[in-house]
Amino acid sequence: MVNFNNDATIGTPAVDIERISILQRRYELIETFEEYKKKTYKGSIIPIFVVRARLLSLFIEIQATLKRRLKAEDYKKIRDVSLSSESSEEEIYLVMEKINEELDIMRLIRIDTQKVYDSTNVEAENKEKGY
Amino acid sequence: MVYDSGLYFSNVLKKNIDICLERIKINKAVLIIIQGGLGEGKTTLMKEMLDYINQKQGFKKVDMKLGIQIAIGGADFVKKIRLCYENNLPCCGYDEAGDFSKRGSLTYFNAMLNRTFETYRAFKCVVILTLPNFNVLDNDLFDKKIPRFMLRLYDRTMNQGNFGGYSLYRMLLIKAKMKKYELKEFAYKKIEPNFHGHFQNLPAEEAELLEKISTKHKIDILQRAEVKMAGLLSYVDLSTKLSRTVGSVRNAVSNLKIKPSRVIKKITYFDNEALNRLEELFNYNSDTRKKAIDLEKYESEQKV
Repeated sequence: MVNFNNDATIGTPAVDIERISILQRRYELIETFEEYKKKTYKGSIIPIFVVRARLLSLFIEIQATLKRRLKAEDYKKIRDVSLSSESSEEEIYLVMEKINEELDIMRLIRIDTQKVYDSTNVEAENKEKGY
Repeated sequence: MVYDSGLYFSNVLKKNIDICLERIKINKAVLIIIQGGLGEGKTTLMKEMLDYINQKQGFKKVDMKLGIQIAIGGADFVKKIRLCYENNLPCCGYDEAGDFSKRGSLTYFNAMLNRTFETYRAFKCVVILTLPNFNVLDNDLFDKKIPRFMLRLYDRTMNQGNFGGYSLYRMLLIKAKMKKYELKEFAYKKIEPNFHGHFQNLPAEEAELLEKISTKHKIDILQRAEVKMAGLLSYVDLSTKLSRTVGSVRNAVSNLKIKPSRVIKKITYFDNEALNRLEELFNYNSDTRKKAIDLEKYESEQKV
């Protein structure tokens, strides 16, 4: 978690702290989901409430952003699944997918930023590198 | 016709030449560099590429007898690129053929290339330059983004030659790496080429004609070197050394019946002994003339 007592954190811009915080919550949600799936694959019947709680926490973290970026009906679906204590595994997974896509568009989790070009085409490379 | 491209070189090179030709259409300079050691087939590949560009632009193959499109040496290049423009030819090859063996030639060579490209850029002519090492080229050429790609020739066999193609970006990386290493060739181990390809030898007839053109200039260079090493002097050299006109030197040579040491390409060369004899003659003549003038002055004074 973000340490607000650390001097370095106090000197860091809020945007950067928020980014770390979102990534941290997303990471924890994925970890919990993995743990849950491990057990269900084994054949155990276990409740999914921890995953629901993690999803809720991620939703609250990015709620304002989602509300601004998404269509009203899409936002409502995500909100309903995140806040509900009855949401199923499949519903949770679909919401995670949607949130992932949004984070990707926001370039928070996008890593393939380098443009793909045909490297045997020298002019394509020259153009890409600014020559 | 050997490869899938229907040409003497690999399809990947054809593709890149085609892309460069697109640049020419929008008045951008295109210089393609072919680099390789002696006997790697630089001139052969250059001829094959020139033929392809000609064919692509609707012209016949390079006329080896006229030799307009193949320049051997810097002075020839300046002349040939002008001829290419006048004849609307789309490309010109420049074989440096020993230009680098002359001390101080690099500065001249780079200055000439810079000037040439600034002048002829708009004339829509692709220039293919062959040289042993592209690192001798001036940074200014690279700053102007004139060289588009380089082909590095290696491991030629009896049947085919091999090349690696590098973009301008990778050429600059190689230049930067070369600064770090004592062994310049090591830079090529660090930077991978954009593409690899092969080329075949020209048909025997064409290869023979090309060899003639290429060898002719090399023999000229050897002859010039021979003259310098033997310390031989032409009529022009003698006239400069003796501070006399060429005509008076010629007369003196014929009066003294001095035999030339060698005649190379209709130019007569003399050795140092001839210079000494001519010096003696001219000194004697000038002394005699002075004495005669003095005598004339004395006699006129006596009369007065």
